[in-house]
Amino acid sequence: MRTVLSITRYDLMRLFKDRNLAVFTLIMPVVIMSVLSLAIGGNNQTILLDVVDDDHSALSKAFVEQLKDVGGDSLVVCVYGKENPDDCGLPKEDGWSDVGKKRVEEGDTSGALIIPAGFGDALQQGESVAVEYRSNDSLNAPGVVTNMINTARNRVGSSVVVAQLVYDPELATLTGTTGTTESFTALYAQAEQQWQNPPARIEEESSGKETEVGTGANQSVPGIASMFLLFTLLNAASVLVGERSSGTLQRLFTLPVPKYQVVMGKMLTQMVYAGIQFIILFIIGGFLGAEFGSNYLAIALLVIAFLLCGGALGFLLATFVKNENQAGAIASLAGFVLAPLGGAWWPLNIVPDFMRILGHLSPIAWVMDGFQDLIYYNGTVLDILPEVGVLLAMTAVFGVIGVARFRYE
Amino acid sequence: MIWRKIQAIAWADIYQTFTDRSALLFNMVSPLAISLIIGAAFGGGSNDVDVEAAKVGVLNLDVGSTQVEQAFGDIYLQVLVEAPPDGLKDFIKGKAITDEKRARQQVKDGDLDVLVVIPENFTASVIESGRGGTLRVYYNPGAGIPGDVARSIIDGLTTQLNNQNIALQVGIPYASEQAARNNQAIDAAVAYIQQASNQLRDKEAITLNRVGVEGKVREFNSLQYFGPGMAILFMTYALANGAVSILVDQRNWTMQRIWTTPSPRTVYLGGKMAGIYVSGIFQMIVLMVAMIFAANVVFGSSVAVWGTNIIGIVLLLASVVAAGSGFALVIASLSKNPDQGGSMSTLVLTVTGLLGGAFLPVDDVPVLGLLSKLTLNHWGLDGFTTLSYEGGSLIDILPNVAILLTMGAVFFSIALFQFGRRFRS
Repeated sequence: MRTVLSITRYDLMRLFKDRNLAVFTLIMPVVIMSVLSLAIGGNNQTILLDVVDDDHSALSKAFVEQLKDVGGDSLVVCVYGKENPDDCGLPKEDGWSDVGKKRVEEGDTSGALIIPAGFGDALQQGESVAVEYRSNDSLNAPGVVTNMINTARNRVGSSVVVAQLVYDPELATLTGTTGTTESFTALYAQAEQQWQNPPARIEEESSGKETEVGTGANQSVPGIASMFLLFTLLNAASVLVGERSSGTLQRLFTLPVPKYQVVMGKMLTQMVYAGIQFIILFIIGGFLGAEFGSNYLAIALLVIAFLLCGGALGFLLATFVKNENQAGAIASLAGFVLAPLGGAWWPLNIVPDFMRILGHLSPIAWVMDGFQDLIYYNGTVLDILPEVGVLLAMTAVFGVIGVARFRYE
Repeated sequence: MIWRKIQAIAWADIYQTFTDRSALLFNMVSPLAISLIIGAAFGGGSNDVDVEAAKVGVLNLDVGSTQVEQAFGDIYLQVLVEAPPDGLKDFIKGKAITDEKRARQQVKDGDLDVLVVIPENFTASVIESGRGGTLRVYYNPGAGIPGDVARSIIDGLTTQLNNQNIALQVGIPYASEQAARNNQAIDAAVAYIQQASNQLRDKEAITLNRVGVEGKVREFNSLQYFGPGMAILFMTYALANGAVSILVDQRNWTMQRIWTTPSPRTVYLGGKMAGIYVSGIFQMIVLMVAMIFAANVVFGSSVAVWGTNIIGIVLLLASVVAAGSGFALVIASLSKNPDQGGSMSTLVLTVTGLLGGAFLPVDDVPVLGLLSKLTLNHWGLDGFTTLSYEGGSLIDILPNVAILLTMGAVFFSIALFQFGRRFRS
């Protein structure tokens, strides 16, 4: 054991002096985590929405007001031809045809909602009307803005549907009256009043952790950290093959110690380095807003199981490659494939079933499941035991095959 | 003669690049594999995102009311647990709950995503004018999108219930009053409102059409975004390897040996630059063809991943590789040795790729959206998506081409200046 630790200590000192390695293993993940945290966690930013009201009716205005109400502080509604908030950057004299398309294309606004001429009249005649939302946001579908528009149109639409009863031909026959604009308006106003205090209401309660707690960082920090830990662990293949090619490994084998201890020392180096990498990345992740629960024993168990699994995979990889370059390329490729597959870039609960199943072939999926238990569900050691168990089982499989295939010379 | 020498040096680099199996594995297979994973995860040809079914528990304590046939709590139970309609089946995995305390713990533990508790007097409170009934929704924010979808379904059900009841509360007085005024049978009019209110639950007066900026419905394929994004990112990695090879040549004295021949130093640099540029073009073409194959054969989509405007594609390809080559040369020219060049280029190119939107769109994120515009990845990716997703014309991508060529010219000038200083010293 002393031999293993000596080799590990010496190799670690060498690794710590390697500034290029620090760039790749520490600076790069921190930059990526930070950018992704900002990009996928930006819940509190203000969004601009252009509105082209070609109708100018009471109902179209009510729709726009409803939209403002739904959007609250997070949505700035910029109505063409109106005095807009300064944030809009939309001169009063500009119309959709002058600047609209360009504003959407250049991202000056999230999109444009077009309320067609005749909107109010059609609704008052009992018809259904389509509004149009023009945007380039298909990647973020269904999108925050679309949800806000849907909420507003459902709200206004609900009162309209009730008011449209005045034009119902069968009701007209039964009551001996025909609908008028006045009766429509009166019923619409009554329905609106009812909606102020609706018959059925929902009271929502969160289970503890609030959504604003670093939603972006809670995904990106464990995800990107796991990915870069895997890169470090898979790099064991390059280290072993490289040292074998350069003869360093053979020189160590001439020492009066068992050969397996030398290899174990090399493997332990990668795992300890990855462990230190994990601690640093998680401390920085904490500053980015990530939370990992309060059960440090569970975190440690999960990470140790992941380190063992990644290390065993790196060792196995070393038995398939011929030279250092090949090892480096395959390790990078494997890391880049296993990371998105296992949910390091996005949560697996938003992908199709077959991708979720396929994703769990990657050790990253199991460590991310474990982190999810700890971050969102106040998980304990008991809760993450299944994930730890699978990671250890993977370790055993990779280790056994690796040992069977490994050649010292 | 000089041109032949440049060709020879360029050819040597191209040959080296495309016979290095390890480099090919990383530069060609990685972007293709990542794009395929993203394509499989987020849809190869559909606008819909497949979401895991949310685990919803329903505790129905509602005893109903003699005034309605069905207790409203039973409607929630039916839709969420017993017989979800076809459109909701894939989003909800519901179960009936009998023990609220235990179910709340299950939500905390993640065994349930959402718990709906419908109180005993819910129906009675809803139908009684001016009173109102409240159902409680207990959820775990860790459930993410599936949990949000489940909550929006519950919200939708409640809106429908409100539509129906507001129609009754507003419609019945109206119908009674009108019938009385015209000496018609009030009961018949009220009965009709009661019957019609059921249909009003699902009626939509205002519908929404989501279209592109041109006003046309578009089919989106995630490969249209991530394909070019990944191809450009890994192309820049490969170009950086080529640029760093100048430092390797210098360290191995290959460059100095070439200088002993009667050729100007610019021949060597020109040859290297040409080699890097042509390798980049080849790599992009291979990836473009591979992704078209992946989109059409693997995912069976008819969407044109790179668009159909061949001239536009060629122009963008030529300009994005020019900018990428120049940028790679700048990084190499500022690095002290090949090791530093390798790690710096990986760091810088990953960061610019990230900012440029290779991994996910950042245009709408404050500050990042602005920084994004400084990267060649942004302009290349924006150009390719303009051609493919937006169906843009040559004129639409000319700004992208101009910016990329300007970037290329500036980068090449900086690199030439830096290498010139380096070689002189």
